[in-house]
Amino acid sequence: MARIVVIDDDQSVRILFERFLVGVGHEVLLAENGRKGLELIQGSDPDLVITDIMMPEMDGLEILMEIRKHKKSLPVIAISGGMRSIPMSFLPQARMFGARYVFEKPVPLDVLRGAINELLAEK
Amino acid sequence: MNLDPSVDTLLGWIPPEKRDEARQRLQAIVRDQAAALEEANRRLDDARLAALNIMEDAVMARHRLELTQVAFDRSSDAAYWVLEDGGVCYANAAASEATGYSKDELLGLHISDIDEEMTRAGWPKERERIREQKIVSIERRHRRKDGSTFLVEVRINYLEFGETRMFCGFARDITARKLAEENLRASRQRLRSHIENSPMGVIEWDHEWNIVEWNASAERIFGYSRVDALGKNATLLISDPDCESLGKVLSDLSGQRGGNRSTNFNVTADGRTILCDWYNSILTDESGARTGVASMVMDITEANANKTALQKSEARYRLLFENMAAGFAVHEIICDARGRPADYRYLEVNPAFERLTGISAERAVGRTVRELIPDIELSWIDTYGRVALTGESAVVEDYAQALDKFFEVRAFQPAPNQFAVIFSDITERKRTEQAIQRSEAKYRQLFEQSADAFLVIKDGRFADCNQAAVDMLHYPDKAGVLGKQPAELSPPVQADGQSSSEKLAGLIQQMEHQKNLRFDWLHKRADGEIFPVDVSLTSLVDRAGDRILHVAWRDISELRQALNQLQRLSTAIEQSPETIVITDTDGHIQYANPAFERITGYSRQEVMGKSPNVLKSGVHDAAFYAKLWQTIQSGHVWEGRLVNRRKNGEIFTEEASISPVKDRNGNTINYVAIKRDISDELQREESLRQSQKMEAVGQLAGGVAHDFNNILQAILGFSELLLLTLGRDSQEFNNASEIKRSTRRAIELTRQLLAFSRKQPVDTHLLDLNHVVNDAEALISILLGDKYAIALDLAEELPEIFADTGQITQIIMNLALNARDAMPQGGRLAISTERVVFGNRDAAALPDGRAGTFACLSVSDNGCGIGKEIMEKIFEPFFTTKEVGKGTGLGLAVVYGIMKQSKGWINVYSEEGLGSCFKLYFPIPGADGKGAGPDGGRIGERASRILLVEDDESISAMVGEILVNAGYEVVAAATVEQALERYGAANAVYDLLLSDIVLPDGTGIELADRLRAAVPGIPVLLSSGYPDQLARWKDMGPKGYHFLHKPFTVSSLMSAVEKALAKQEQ
Repeated sequence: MARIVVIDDDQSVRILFERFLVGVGHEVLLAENGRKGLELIQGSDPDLVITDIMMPEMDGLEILMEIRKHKKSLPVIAISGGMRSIPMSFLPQARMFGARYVFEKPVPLDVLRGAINELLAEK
Repeated sequence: MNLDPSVDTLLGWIPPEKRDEARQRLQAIVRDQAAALEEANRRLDDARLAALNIMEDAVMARHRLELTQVAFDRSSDAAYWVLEDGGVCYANAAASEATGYSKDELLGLHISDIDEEMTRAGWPKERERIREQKIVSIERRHRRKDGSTFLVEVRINYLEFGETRMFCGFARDITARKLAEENLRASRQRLRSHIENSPMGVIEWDHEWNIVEWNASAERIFGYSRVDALGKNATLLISDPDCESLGKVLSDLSGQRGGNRSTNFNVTADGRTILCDWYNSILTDESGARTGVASMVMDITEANANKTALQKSEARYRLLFENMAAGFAVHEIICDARGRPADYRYLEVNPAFERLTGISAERAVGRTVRELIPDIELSWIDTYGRVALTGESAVVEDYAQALDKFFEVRAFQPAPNQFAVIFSDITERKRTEQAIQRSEAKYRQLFEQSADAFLVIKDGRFADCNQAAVDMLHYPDKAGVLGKQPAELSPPVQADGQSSSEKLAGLIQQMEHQKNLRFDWLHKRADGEIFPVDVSLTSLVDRAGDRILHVAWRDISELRQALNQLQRLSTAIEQSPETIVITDTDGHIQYANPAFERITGYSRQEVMGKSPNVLKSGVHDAAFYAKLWQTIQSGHVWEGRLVNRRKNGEIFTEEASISPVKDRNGNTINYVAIKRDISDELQREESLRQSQKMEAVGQLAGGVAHDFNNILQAILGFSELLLLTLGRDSQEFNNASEIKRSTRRAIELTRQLLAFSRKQPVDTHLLDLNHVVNDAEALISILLGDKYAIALDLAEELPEIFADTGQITQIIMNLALNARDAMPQGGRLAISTERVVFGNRDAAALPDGRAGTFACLSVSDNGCGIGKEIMEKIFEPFFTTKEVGKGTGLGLAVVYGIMKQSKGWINVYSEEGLGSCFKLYFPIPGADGKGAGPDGGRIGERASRILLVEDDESISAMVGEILVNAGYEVVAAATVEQALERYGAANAVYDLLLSDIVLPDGTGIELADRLRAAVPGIPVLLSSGYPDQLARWKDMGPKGYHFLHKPFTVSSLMSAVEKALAKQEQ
C-alpha cells in the first residue's frame, strides 16, 4: 500500500489510473496539471509519482526537475501520449530529468504495475 | 868572217877583256853557222854532185840562214839582250816597235825601264833566279816610251860568254791574247750564269745519255738536285715506254745541224708527269767527234694547259660571238682635227648585229656610221668616243625610231681608240615594263585602298604597308610602322606561350623553303592592345631582285570571337543534358547530340539521315503528329510532351520544343528539336506527391497522436480493468479481451502511421531484438495475409541492443512489406536473429562492415530478387520499383537512415529469381565501446557547452538549471559585452549560443552575427517574448538561427535546444 500521485491532463487517463491503482490497493492523489501536481507532492509526501509529460502550464519535465530539487529519492514514472506539434525526443529527456520509468501511451496496465511494484519494492 | 855591225855594237858592251872571247864565241857561232853553211854548201855541192836536185836544198838552207838572221832581227817577238847589270845591249826592230823607243834609245835603257814590274834594285835577285834556271818564261808588263803598258810573255835565256853573262829575252805582246782570254773567261762566266740562271733547264748529257750538267731550273723542273742528277741516265726523266725514243733523238740530232726541238712527257722526282719542251743540240770535240748532247728544257704543262684553254676559250668566244643573241660590233673611233670624236667605223659585227639592226656585215664593216646613218645623233658619237678614248664603259638604253625598237647598249673599250658594243633588243622588256608599271600602279592602288592590311617585309623589317595596316595598328601614319620589325609590333609571347621573336625566326626560316605560309598571330597596336590576325605570307622577289615577304593581315578578333562563340555553342550543344536533334525540312536527322545517344540508346550513325519516327512509342495517334508537323511547317514552335520508346524498348517521356530554323530570307531550312527526358522527373514528382501525402498523413497523425494515445490509453486500460474483474469463462471477459485486442491493433496502426511519417518519438533504450520481432510478427501476418509463411529463427540469449522499439518495428515492417511485394504469388518470409563476431578480415569483406560483436537481424524472402542494375539504388530516397501508389520509395531509405542512426549497417544479398536477404547489424553496447546510448547533452566525450545570454536573472537561473539538469554545461552572461567577453575568456569550444533577443547593450542577433564571424556555423537559438520579433525572423531564418518563443515550457526549450544542436551535427 503506497501513496501515489497521478498527474495527467486527460481526465479518462486520470480515472483509469485511479481505478487501477486503487484496485490494486494504493492510495491515489490526482492532479490535472503540473502546478497542482507539485502542490500535492509537496503536501502529501507520496511514495511514487506517475506524470504525463506534455501538459499545459507546467509540463512533466519541470515537475521532474522540481522533484529532483526537493525530493530526490521520490521515484517518478513518466508517461507520454506524444507531441502535439513539435517532434522531440521527450522520452529520453524525461529519463535524463530523473524519471525512473518512461512509457509511451498507451501503456498496458500490467506493464505499469510491474514498474510500480519494482519502484515501491526499492523503498 | 864578218859580223853584223850591230854585233860590233853588242861587243862594245862586253868588257874588253872578254870582248875577244865574245867575239870569238860569236865568231864561233857565226863560224859554226858559216861552217854549217859551208857544210851545207859542201853537202850541196856534194848533193849537186850527187844529184842535181839537192841544189835546191842548198839554196833553201842558205835562205833559211838568211831567214834566221832576218828572223832574229825581224822577229815579231821583241828581242832584248840584257847585260848582267840590267842594261839593254841589244833590241830588235820588234822591240822598238813594241816600246816606241828607237833601237838606239833602247840600247841605253835599263831593263827596269821597260819591265814595269822590275826595279833596278830587284834586278840582281831576278837575274840570279834566271841564271839558276837558265831559261825562264814569264809574263810581265812592259812600259812603252809613252808610259803606257802592255802585257808580254817573256822568254829569257841565260847566256855566259866567259865573264860576260847575258840574258836574251824574247818578249811577245800578249795584250790581245790576254784580252781574248779575259773575254773568254767572262764569256764563260756569263754563259755559266746564263745556264745557272736560265729559266730553262739546261742539261748536258754524255754520249750515253748520262747527265753531266744540271742547272738550277732543271732542278726546279724535275725536282732532282744537281748532286742527285749528275751521273744519272736520262731514263730518270722519262717513263719507260719512251726510252727507245732517246736513241732516236740522238740519231735525229746526228743527222741534222743546229739541234732539234721536241715536246715530251717527262716524269718528275715526285712522280708527276709533266709536258716539256726540249731543245737539244749535239756536242762535239775539236775533232768533230760526238761527245754528248746539250739540252734546254722548259716545263710547258701549265702553259700548254693555258694555251689549250685559250684556244678553247677563243673558239668558244668566237662561237659565242657568232651565235649570241645580243648584237656585237667593234668600232674604231674617228676623231676630227682637234682630236674630238667625229665618226666611227665598223670593224666587225656579228650575225645578231645584222639581225637586230637589219644592216648586213658586208654593208657595215669598213664603213663609218655617218656613211650608214647620216643623221645619227652626235650624242652617240660623243658617248662612244668617250668609251673609245677613255676606256670608260657605258650602258645606254634608247629607242630607235627607225626600227621601232628599244635597245640596251653596253659599250666598252677593247683596244685604244676602239669601242665595242653589245646590244640587245629590249623592246619586249620595255613593253612589259610599261605594262608592269601600269599594272603596278593599278595594284598599288589596290594595295593602298584594300580593307585588308598589306605589308611588305624586306630584310626583316616592314618596308611598305597600306593604310589598312596603319589603321589596324592604330598608328597615326605609315612612318610609325615602316622600319619596324614584326616582333616590335607583337606582344612578347604568342597565344601558345612561345616567344614572338623565336617564333618569328622560325617562320622566316620556314619561308626560305616555302612560297606561302598562313598562320594566326597576335599583334600589338600602338596603344599596346593585343589583337589576333590571320597572317598570309608570300615570298616574292622584287624588281631589284631582292627577296621580300608580302604580308596580308586579316583582323580575326571578331572572327575568333565568332568562332569561340560557335565553339562554345557547339560545346554547349554537345554537352547539353537535353537531347538536341536537327533535321532537314523533310524530317531527316542531320545532327543529334550525345544526349540523344545517351537517352534514346541509338547511336548517331544509326539515326543519321533517318526520321525521328524510330522513337515512336505508339502512344500518340497520327493526328497528334499531324498537328505537330502542321505547327512547325507553318513556322511556329511546337511545344509539348512526347512519349517515345528507347532502343531497348523502354518508354520514356520527353518535354520537347521543336522549332523551324530559318535562313536570312525567312525560308525554313531545318528543324531543331530540343527535348528533355522527364521520365525520372515525372517519377520523382509522383514520388514527391506520394511522400507529400504521407507527410500530410504524418502531420495529421502527429497532431492527433497525443489525444489519440490518451484515448487509446483509456480504452486499453479500462478493457484491462474489465478483464481483471470479469470471470475468465464469461462472455463479457471474451468481449473485453476483444476490445483489448482491437485496441492493440489501433495502437500499432498509430505507431506505424507515426513511424512512416517520421513523427514518431524516438526512444532509444536497451532492447531485445527478439522481443521486437515477436511483437511485430502478429502485425506482419496481418499485413501479409494467408499466402505467406512467416518463419522465425531467433537466437537464444541474444545481447540487447540500444535502439528505439518503434524504429526496429518499422524496419521489420518495411522489409516485410518489400518481401511481400517481391513475392506477389506468395512465399516464405524468414526473420532470424543471431549474435555475430567479426574479426578485421571478416569486416573488410563486408560492405560498410567493421570488426566487433553485433546482433544481426536477417529478413529474407524467396521472391524475384533485386537486379544488379538497381542494387545500388535501392536505398536512395524515393527510389521504387513498385507501381504508383504502392510504394513511397522511402521504405528502404528509412531503414538505411535508422541503421545509420543506430550506428549499424545493412548488407543485402540477392539473386534474381531466387530471393533477397537483408542482414542488419546492430552494435552491442559495451561489446566494442562504441555502442549507442542516450547522449543527452553530451557530444562525444564531453558535455555540450551552451553560452546562455539572458538579462533577466530569474529566467537565466531557471533556464540554466533546466539545461544543467539535462546534462549540458552552461556559461551565463547578461549582456552582449559580457557574452563576448565570456566567449573570449573561456578557452573552450561552445556548442550553442542561446540568447535573448533584447539585451541591455544590443540585440541577440548582433551578438549572434559577431560570434558567427568568429566561429562560423555555431548554432544559434534566439528567444523572445515580443511577438514583433518574429517579424525579424525573415532575416534570421536564412542565417540558420533558431527561434524559441517565450514563455517556453521545459519541453519546448529542450526540444528547441535539441533541434538547434541537431542541425549543427548534420
